[in-house]
Amino acid sequence: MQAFLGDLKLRALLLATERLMLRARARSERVRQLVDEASHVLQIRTESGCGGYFEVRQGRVRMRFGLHEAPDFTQTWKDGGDAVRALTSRDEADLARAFEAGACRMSGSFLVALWFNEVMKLARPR
Amino acid sequence: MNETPVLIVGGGPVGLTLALALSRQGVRSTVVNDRKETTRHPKLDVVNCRSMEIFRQLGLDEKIRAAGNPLDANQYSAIAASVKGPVYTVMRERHLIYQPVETARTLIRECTDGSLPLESMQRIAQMHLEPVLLAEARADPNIDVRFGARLFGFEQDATGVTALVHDVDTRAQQHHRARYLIGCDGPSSRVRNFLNIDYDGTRDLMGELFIIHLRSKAIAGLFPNGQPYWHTWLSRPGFSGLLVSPDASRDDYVLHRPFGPRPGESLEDIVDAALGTQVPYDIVQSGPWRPQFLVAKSFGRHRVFLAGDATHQYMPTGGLGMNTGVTEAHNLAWKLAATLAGWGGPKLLPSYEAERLPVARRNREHVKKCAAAAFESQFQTSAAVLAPGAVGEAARALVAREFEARTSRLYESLGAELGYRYGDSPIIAREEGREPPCDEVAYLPTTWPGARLPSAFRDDGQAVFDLLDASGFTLLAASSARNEAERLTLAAREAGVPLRQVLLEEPRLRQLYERPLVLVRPDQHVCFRGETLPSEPRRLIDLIRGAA
Repeated sequence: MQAFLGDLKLRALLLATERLMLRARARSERVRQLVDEASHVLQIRTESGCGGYFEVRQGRVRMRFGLHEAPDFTQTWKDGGDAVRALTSRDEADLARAFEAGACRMSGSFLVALWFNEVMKLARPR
Repeated sequence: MNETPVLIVGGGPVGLTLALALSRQGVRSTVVNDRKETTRHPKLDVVNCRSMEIFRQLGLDEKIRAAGNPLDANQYSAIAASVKGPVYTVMRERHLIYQPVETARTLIRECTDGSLPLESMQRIAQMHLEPVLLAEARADPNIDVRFGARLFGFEQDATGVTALVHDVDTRAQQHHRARYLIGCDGPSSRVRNFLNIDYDGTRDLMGELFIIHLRSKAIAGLFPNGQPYWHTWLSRPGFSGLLVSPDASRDDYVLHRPFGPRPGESLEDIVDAALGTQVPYDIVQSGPWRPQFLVAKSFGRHRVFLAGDATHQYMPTGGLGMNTGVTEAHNLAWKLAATLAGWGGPKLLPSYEAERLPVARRNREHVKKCAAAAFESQFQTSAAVLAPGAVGEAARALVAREFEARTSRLYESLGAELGYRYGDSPIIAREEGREPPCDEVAYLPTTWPGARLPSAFRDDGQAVFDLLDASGFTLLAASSARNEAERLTLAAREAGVPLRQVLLEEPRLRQLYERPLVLVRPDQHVCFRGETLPSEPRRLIDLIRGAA
């Protein structure tokens, strides 16, 4: 049950994140520049296969549920609830804590993660 | 009222380097610094190859080397589960950078294709570098060093800058009048703030990292031959970090962690986990810090310029913080000197920003890639790295391969250190044709206008860099171009521009430098090259002195 709830929260977070990014792209010149310059796929998933990915290409951001065949960067969480806690934290070091604690594995280009950090920093309501 | 040609705010490595570079060109300066003494903490841990070339031009290379890591000591970078082991791999012979300076010198001397710097890097802590520069500045009659003096404010007008400085103890006021003011006053630069220049970039992308400065005589004993590696990256399930030994002959170490202590975790817990054993040590200082990837939107206004951390804040991955600042000071010094001497034209000082802002942005991207690489190299760390037998060996080999493939970028990027170019500068004679590649990692020696002159040695063993005029231009000419060289010398003389001719007879140097005429600036960058001179040499001289 806990895993189910965690997955649900993660899916809701991914959806909300896409909305935030689209809103920020419309309002922030810097976010627009970041989106326009990027071409990559960032995937956030759980070990059980729940999750989604953000595809950023040609100035557009699209979130899709499911798994991408060849993401540029992937975070694989043991539990959706852990993912939501770390990804909604205002402390950027929470991702490093989760990685070191083994709650999250990462693969691919960490530059994509930095891109995501920057966009989310600008996109989140202050 | 203290009158000085140049007032430098900030007496850290960049401010002192600027003062010393100005002095070598006969320019007096006053340095004010709000701290009363040099730093007591290690801070930076490397003077890179390009900075060492610059310090050689200033006659400081041997003094800096004497204060840092011994010439026969390693500059290795390793990755391990803990300092005690198991060690996954040590990068030691794959690149010049890791070699002891003595060994690197031989490799450099034997290099004939211009691909290596004239000087290897120097492993040294800022706390040992600053006293060398400060002592040199204090002994220099051209430099008035005032520590314990804080900039209160300044105003600039058509002919100069008037600054008010307070003694930090007595609050006594000092009035300074200078032709130019340079803010080398760090990331929280008051000069930059007064100019209302902000940083370009988003702050705090990496969050809050944590640092522990410790002192120990025992830690060295955990390394082969009792000689600590320069960097020991730590990666195992449940622990990651970096132990830096800025100087193998000293007892100071810096332990970096990706976040602060967890609830209930002491500093000693962290240090013991990093070492993988318990040995005596003293913790000198610890605290959080926030790495940044920021570049100032502008490098100055009118008679006030910025250099060093006042223009950029980088995460230390790649060692380009102070080292970018040293190259900024080097770029700015000759332009200030030329302008004060009267032969620098009105476009010379503005070219500082035109040349250095793109380099600062390029270095920021490089540093960001280095930071990403440092994280990525730990992605393959699994519980198996601590397992015995073949399973453990395979897991450790995988981490070792990732480390060598990715983290090597932090150390081996001579393209970033030496390969930056000022190709779009308004004071460089542009060349038609296809520009050679300009990679951040691999350095490609070229005399393409704007590039740093590739380093080489003459047949008699003399370094070509040592023949260059640090206060004027140097024309490197093949003997077949002697007449052309004379024409340019005449044009320079008419404009009051110092120009030294160096005739190069060696065919291999002719080949390396690609053209029979290569004109080099005081900062060792090529500003013109050609088979022949333009039809009006005076126009070329006016272009490179910022008067065209």
